Amino acid sequence: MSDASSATTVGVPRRRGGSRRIGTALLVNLLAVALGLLGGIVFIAVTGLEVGPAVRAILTGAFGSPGALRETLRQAVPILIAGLGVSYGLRAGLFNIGGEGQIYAGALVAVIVALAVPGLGPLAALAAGMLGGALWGGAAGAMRAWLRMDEVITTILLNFIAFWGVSYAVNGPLKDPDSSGYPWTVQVDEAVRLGALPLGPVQVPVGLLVGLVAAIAVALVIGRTRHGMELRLVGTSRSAATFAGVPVRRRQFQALAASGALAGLAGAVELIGAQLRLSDFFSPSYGFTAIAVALVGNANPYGCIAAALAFGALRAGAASMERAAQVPVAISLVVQGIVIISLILVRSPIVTRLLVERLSRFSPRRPDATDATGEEGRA
Amino acid sequence: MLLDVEGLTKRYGGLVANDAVDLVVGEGEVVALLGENGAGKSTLVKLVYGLARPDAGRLRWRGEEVRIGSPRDALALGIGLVPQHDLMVPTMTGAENLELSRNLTGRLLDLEASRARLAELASEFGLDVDVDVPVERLTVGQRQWLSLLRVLVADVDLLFLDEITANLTPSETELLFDSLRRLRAQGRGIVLITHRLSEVLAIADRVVVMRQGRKVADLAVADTDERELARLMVGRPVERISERSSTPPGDVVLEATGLGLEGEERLEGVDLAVRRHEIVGIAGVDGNGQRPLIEALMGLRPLDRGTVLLHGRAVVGGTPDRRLRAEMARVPEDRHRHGLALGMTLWENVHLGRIELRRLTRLGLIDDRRAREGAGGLLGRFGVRASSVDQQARELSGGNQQKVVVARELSDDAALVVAMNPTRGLDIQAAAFVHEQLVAVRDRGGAVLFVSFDLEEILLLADRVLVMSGGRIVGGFDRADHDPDRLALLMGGSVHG
Amino acid sequence: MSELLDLVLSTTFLAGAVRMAVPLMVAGVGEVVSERAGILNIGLEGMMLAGAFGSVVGASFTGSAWIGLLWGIAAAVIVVLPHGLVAIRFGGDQVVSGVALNITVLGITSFLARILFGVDRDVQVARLGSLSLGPLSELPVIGPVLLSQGAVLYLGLVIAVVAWFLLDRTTWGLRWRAAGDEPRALEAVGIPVARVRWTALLFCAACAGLAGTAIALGQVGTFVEGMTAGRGFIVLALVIASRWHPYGVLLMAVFFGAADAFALRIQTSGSEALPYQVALMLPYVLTLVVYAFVARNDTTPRALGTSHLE
Repeated sequence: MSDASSATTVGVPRRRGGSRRIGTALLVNLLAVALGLLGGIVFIAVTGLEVGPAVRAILTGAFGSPGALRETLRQAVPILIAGLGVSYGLRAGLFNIGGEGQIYAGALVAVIVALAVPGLGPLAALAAGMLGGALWGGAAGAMRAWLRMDEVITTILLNFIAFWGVSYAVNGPLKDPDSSGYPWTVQVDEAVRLGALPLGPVQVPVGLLVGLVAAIAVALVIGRTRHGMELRLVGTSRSAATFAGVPVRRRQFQALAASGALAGLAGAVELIGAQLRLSDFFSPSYGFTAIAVALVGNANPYGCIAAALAFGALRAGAASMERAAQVPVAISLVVQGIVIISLILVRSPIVTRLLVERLSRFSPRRPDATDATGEEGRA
Repeated sequence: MLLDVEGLTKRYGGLVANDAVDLVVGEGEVVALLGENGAGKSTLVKLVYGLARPDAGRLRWRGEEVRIGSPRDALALGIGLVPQHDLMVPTMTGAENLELSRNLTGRLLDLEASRARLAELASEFGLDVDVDVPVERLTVGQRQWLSLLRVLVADVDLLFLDEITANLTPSETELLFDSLRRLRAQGRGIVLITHRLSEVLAIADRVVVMRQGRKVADLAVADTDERELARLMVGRPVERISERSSTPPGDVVLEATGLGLEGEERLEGVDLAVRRHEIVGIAGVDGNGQRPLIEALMGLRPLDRGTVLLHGRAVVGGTPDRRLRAEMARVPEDRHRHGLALGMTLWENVHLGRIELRRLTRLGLIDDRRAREGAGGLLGRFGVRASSVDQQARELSGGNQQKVVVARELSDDAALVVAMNPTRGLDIQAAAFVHEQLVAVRDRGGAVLFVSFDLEEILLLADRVLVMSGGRIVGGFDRADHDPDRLALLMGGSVHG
Repeated sequence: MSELLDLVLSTTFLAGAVRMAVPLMVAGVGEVVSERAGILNIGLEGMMLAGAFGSVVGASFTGSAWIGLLWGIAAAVIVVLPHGLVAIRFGGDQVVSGVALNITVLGITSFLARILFGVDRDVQVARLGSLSLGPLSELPVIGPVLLSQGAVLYLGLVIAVVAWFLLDRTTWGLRWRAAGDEPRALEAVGIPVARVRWTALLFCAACAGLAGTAIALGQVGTFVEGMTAGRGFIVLALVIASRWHPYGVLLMAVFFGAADAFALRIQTSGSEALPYQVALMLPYVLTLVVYAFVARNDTTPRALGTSHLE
């Protein structure tokens, strides 16, 4: 610690974090979400459907009753945890778009463990899910780090392999003998299921708590450990990481393995917390909504929580809107897509430059230092 | 008279890059444009070739006043430029690159014609180059030939050659000069931008010397010699601020023997040693092997030959290990690439790669309150102007960023400091501050090795000066024997200087 | 095992392989051109899906499969515009933009399909017929495999040759390649990089639209939500394996098409020897293996996926 007498010109706020930076990011992302919702509404209107009932139906379906809230939370769980996985990779500069495959891989290992040894309980199933996801993500990580194969391509390819692997398993060795033709496994035992906790009138799925714990864990690892610091260093500048003595390749491998482990955890939670059995239509593109969650959440675990709740509400609301107002549920995908496009436009170098120019024209120049004289006296 | 430039002035912000510069080039004449890095040579070329607009001054081409707004205008007049680093598509052949620059829209490629034209010119000027292999597989020399030929295809009357000898071997330079003589004999004008005195004397008819943005001399080569040119180029010797260390140099801290590296910037048989209580400065013009040398010493780059010993133990190139990071403070040349993570906070940057961070870790978690307070104190002591340790490094000015790097690297009291251009881009006060820190390291018994392209900085700081040229250490002297003329001669590649 | 062997050696299988290869081939050629010019299209899947949807809508409105084809191309070109803006004009992240394109198009087409065709989605539209080459189609093996295929196959082959010719033999192609390898060199000789990249991207979108049409009007004759089923991603992989050459794409497309046809045959024949899921997995595993070998070989366009701002 510095001695008190030395002239400190650099402030050390009691609480960390650049509040202005976070504020700007929040504003930008809310703007993108608003644009996405607006785009969805315009889209509905253009196709000649009635906007009013549709919006009402979405809101009712997402928030209108304890059941609706529960559905929103249920939808938020897998996309939150898988979104944490995507974020973890993004922080290390890696874009893991194979969440879908890692969810399947995690759910497969989890269901095997859950069916084989139900006595081990839910934690074992969750660990198994993480292992499966880590294998799948780690495979992409190894290919990235040591074979220089682009993770964007490999994770997609691995999606298909995982999907067909699960499809084989649920149509073959793991198929429920009484399924009357459906490609799925038997339900997991009561002993390994995650139930729900009542919070007032709302049943909160235990999986959500798993997701919140995961978010805190990721936040701590990324933000507060030396390992996390090195990951972020690799993510911002590989040359600076090498200079600082960080083993870049090993960190890249570890990042994708951990990213996959989180997606695998999402699969396991969905398995033992919601669907209870594995099928080959197990993930209705959770892995892809997870990408939207991570991007809107700024690859920040707490941002992901907010984004996952928002997209969970959107998914739940859209599903009920389809039933109530005959507006196809696919509108939620349109909204997600427009949100991401808006985000990326706003964050692009050109727009950033424009914004910075505009803002600096209207606001007084921000001083670099709180104490300029200290500098003068020193030099 | 081909080109007649009068009073050309160019300002970048507060810096006057060209201050009322005149330049005259006639037909069949080779004019050397001589000066140190930053003397304003490249700016002058940019103004004449249409890559920048002058703030004041006049350009006449064959007696008529002209405006040159773009390279296209320049080429149309008959002015060509061979830049030091030509932009070609590395995966394409010479012939394809020529096709690209002919800029014909929507046509079938006529590689045969391009190839034939290049071959014809190549044989005319004796510059042997394979135009059918991707450019990236050519040697540095062949690439230069190609880029020269590419300009000659346009049939220019006046040719600017921007430091193109910098990476050529002596025999390649000789070959180049032969072809320049042929061009001169055809009545073309040539402007050779260089910092090498021997080249001026070997090829030029006239020499224009620039220093700090001004033309300081315009002489017939026959009327001058190396010594005079060296003095003109460097100017008056500067006053030193730091006194010599009162303690004589002690034990050897860093020792390099027989360092060799292949590649674009080569190293050949470099030996050097740095001892306690001394500052060793490596002088030389950019691109003479300083960069690979420093990267090898910092443990970033594997060597082809030779060894580096730090306290008697070998430094292995690749990812710098813990021991090296503990014992060597490294101030890299490029703070954006190596020194800082611009997207991370100041306090994190202060702790990057530092061993001390381990001590601030409890149960695997960084005690970020203590880490941030430590960073705040350190940055305060080094006079960094920032509002908070939570600011991102990219939000700081260049000078403050450099101070962050220096603060981090010097904070562990390492026995050795290795730095490259430690004050580049800094204002005078910030530079003086960094200088004081380096002197302080020496005075507390540390060893300092630094590279600078700025001769003043070398003379200001170094107890011992080594001069690099062409990937070798070509000479050195103690500060007591310091002689700017001899230094300039060494830098200019005159080995006997 | 001999059962599988018989299957693979049958002419119906080979004809199926070629048929499945057509959309991959056409989209692959487009993607080669785009990537050679430096623009990566993770959104290829979405572009193909838009093409499939547009072609079915066009065909059902006009009753003509050929007009449907034009609609398919137009639809793919329209949906690529935001990606072009992000990637070329604004210098944004091409990968994220492509992911967004996929999601958006999946949403839009599924949504509109419900609105236009209703829930049962049992719309049959005119299909692109096969070109009869007269007696040539009667030739053994070659006849059924190559000479009595849908017209899109021949169109696709023509496009591949055209793409190769443009890339290899014209100044347009030279500029595309320069834009993908070293855009600054292009700028240095005074050619606007953005315009060059736009032409490549639009060419790619048109190809992707045609590929989507080939799936919808060439194979099925109707639109099904998400009917491209990951083929866009397959194409991205095969472009790498082809080392960014149009003819390499033809070869790799047939390889993938054969794997597709193989899986289809296994699935429909109910083979006991091999679960069809394993058959469907093989192409991806093989692609990863091939990719592992070519990844370190530097034929990747140097500036692929990077933005170039003036």
